[in-house]
Amino acid sequence: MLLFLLLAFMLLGGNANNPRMLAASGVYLIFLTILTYLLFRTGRIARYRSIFFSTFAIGFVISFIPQMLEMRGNIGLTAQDMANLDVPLCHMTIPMLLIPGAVYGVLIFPTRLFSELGFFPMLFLWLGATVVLGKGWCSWGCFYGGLDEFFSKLSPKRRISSKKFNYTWRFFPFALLLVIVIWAFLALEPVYCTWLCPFKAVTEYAKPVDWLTWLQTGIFITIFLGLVVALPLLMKRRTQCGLFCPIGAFQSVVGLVNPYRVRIDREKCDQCGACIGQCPTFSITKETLAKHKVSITCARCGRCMEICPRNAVQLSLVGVPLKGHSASTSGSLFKEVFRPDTFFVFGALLFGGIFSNGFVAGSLLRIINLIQTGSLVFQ
Amino acid sequence: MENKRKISTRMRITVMYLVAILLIILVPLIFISFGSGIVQKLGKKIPIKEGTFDPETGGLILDKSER
Repeated sequence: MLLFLLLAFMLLGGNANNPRMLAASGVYLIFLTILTYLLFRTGRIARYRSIFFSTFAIGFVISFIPQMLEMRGNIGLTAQDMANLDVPLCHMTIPMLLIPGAVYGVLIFPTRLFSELGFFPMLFLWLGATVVLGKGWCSWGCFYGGLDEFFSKLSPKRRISSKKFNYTWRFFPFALLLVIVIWAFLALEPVYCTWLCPFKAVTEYAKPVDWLTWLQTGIFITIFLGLVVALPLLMKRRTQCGLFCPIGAFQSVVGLVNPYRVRIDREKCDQCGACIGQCPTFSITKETLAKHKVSITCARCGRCMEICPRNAVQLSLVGVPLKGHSASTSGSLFKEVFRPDTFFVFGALLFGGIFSNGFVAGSLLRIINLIQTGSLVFQ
Repeated sequence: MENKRKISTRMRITVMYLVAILLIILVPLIFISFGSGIVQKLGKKIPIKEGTFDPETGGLILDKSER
């Protein structure tokens, strides 16, 4: 009820001057309320988070591309667009901008400092998300991660088993992070965006005009189709998030400021390994499980908590012993509510709900526009 | 001794739960702050400026004083 009121205040209050957006936000509010009710009622955090997260990502894609078409007339970036600083910034660029920004005092990304999708609003939003969600940003706030999630849920059956998978690959994003941070500093260019980011396939990209830009186009399309579509479909895991995303690696480290951790109860865990095969981001291995730990790459998606047959995996607070949790299904309402996982999910849904509203409600309006006029772009 | 440890554990748990509540309160504050102009106020204190990009190549142009 409290979450509903807070979401209603934030979602509807922000759109009071726009009746169409107000109505679309109202529909989204009802959707979020039903999801929240089902999530807390059934305790299936991963299932209902996944529905929310995928909706967020699809809403983002439906909103963003037409928005760019309205703003610039195309989604293929030209050198002139860059000179005009007309490129919206996303959180993926932040690690690359910090060192050149500190050394030269200049933003190496062609965006404005204070525009709606500019540097400072995104920086402050990301900082806030890091404090509130930590690495949980990757499962509750990152609109790109939702695409990975969506494709990993589409296939009913796992086609590629991960039994023989070498879990050391989960540290590849850390190596890639180091490379792109150094490379961006030396080249004074957001190299991840230029060369590697697979999500240019659903946002914007440099207009292919010569062999170099055609090569860049080929690379991002290949990575998108391989890591965001094909492998998640075949493995039922978030392969881009778990094995490639350097920003996820960055978030793993800076996200340690957040006090929530996924922990495994030594007394309850019988090392059955059910969680190893299910973790979407490859964050639980035989080695980590033997130590009753999850890897630093854990994105707080809740899947292990949901499937553990002995209820041994819990979302806890740093410094609070697992026995100190008032986790009880037969206790009073106060005891049931006053649990770290409830607190985290409440904050994460609130953050994700407010953040996603502009995209999801906007995409609803665009779909109505598509039915009425045959175009997602508003005239 | 045992009693002292129990009190400190209880204290730690209480503090962590308070932090958890604060983090929830922080969520609406983050989004409200965008409309309040605090982002502009804080941003202006950070010594960073927009880059100048070449309209022919799209590359960053740094003048001598920046290098």
